[in-house]
Amino acid sequence: MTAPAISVKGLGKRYRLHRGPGYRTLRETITGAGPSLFSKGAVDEGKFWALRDLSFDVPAGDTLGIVGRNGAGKSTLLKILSRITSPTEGRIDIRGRVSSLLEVGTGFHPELTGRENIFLNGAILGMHRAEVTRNLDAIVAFAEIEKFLDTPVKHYSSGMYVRLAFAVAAHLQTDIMIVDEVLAVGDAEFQKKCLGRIQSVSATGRTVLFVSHNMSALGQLCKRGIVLKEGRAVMDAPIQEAIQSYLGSAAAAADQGDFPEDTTKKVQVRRIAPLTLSGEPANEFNCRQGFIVAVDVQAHERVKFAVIVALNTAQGVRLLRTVSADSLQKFTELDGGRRLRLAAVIPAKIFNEGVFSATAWVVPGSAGVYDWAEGGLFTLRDTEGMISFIGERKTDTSALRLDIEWRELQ
Amino acid sequence: MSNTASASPETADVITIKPASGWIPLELSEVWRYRELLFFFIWRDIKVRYRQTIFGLAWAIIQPLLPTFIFSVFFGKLAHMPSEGAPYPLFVFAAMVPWQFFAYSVSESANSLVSNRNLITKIYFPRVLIPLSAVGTGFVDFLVGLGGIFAMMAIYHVAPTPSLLFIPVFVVLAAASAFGVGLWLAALNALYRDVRYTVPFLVQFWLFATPIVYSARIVPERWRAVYGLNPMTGVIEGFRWSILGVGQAPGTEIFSSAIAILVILVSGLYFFRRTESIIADVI
Repeated sequence: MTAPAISVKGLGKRYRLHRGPGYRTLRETITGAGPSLFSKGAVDEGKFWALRDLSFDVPAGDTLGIVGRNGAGKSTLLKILSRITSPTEGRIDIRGRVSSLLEVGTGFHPELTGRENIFLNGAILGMHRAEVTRNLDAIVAFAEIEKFLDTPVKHYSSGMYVRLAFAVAAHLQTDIMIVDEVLAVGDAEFQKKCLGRIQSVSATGRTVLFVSHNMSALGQLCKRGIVLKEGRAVMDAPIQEAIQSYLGSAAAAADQGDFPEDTTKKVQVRRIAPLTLSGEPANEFNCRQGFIVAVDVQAHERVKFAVIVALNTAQGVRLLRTVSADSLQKFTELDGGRRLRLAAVIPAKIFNEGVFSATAWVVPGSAGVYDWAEGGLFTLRDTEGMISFIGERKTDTSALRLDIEWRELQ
Repeated sequence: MSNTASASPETADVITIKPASGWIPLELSEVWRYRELLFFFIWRDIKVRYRQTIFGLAWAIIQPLLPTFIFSVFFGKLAHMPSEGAPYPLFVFAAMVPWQFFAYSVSESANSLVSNRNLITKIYFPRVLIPLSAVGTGFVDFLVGLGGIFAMMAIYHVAPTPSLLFIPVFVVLAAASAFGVGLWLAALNALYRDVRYTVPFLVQFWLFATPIVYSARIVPERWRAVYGLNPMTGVIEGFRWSILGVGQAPGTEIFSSAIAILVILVSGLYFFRRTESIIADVI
């Protein structure tokens, strides 16, 4: 038995809850109004444990999926594992070089060309120059940007930008790869390509840690799954069992609550809430009645944006995409600090019975994405019709169920 | 897939992640491992900084030249400030170039963590590279400015003396004091944004507390050691002496400046490391 690639023991991370602005002024600290830098374990008021008593091992070559609703501690765990923030208690031993894809395109500079950004990004991700040079062709081919290699990336389309960013990160030669939800960006074809890339990485015996709301991707990629709830691991089992347990639990609620505030973004998706037509939150809707996907957007500075909502099957197939504004004049404008709820009203009789999820983006008038997030799973049921009993088994029905007119033709 | 074999987990180094407490080791070897990233940061900043400018890198000379001109008119021509026998504009310019190096590096460092917070909250690398690259970028400007000094010496027919050989010593001291002060301000600014507003005044005040428009000789001998506690006193005096070869080699103030620099640098490194562990959570 060799030592595990990642060994987590009694890990805990405590955060202080912020009031007001995200940073302190000197006056606050001097007068004791703000939290003090060096104080430890004083009062527990206004503090919460994002992670607690977390222990698990990942053997080398294993692929581990992490499931849990927003605020369950997934992102915190990944941030600690990739050494962005340090834990409050416990310890982690990592054997091997780690690459983490927490957000693709980190460190890209708009003024620099594609080629320059590949080298810069490679260095940020810990690659040596020679390594980048060796992989340059593969990266460029993967990203499909051959013709624009020497164009500043500020002129790239958002698709090209994301492809390039993923390509650089995916071609790192590391022992352990940590992947957070990078797959919801880009088109379906590119998503498939990314999944394939991660799969081939794990096939070469490297260790992969994967966080996603996309259950089918998790099922395909991972052998094992850990379900996080309120900062603790409630299940550690083969991936299908973990997924089933997560989907069966209330933790998989349609409204996953607020996404954590991130003031590094201009504007943010704070919440995705599926609602009934009368505005009641629910996990289950009637196919024959339609429903609402409400998106809470919070601006951190004055910004003009549109919201895109997409609906997907639980297997991650995108069924529909709708934009809040079809021209720049109709874009929404929001002052910094303000929060706004925009709702897409999904008409009745479009979808069949089944489990679905919503994805939301906030986008600027130009190329790029301000922020995006994946909502929880919700169920559509037909409480009146007989459709689920007609024909073959329920799993063989289609995702769409439009109001199709039938005629008898002569 | 490339065929490079990655180190197997059995042989690879073990990284241990633990709560940060007490004196956190500086891990300078890790900074060395990431040296390529440092060069990339410097390269990126230089490349982006002078993009879409008409004068480009010439700004590295124009920036110290403009205040030199103003000081020469007011202090040189009108107030007849003594300049140890050297032409007054050259006397000021030879101090202005290393001063700009310091001032630029310090102001850039102070804001560096905040302006790079997208990186800091998303990916790991030794954070100290960020203020260090600000000093590196300042250094490139400094080298151009140094060329400007030699050009001005040629214009004023001032020949270099053997004391020129000491220049590297003072350049290292200038870089060390910029880095040390930069570390303190960068970490403080990440915690308290008040710092950002005080830096411009600090730099302005510091300029006059340093022998740039005047000579350190106007300070009485018995106060020199105290005066040298301003780290830039020793740096500027020493630098000007080795360039122009005028006056006698400065002693006391360089000694106390060197000690001040060492204290600021080492304490700055530890304070920065201490802040580093919580930086992604508070920035």
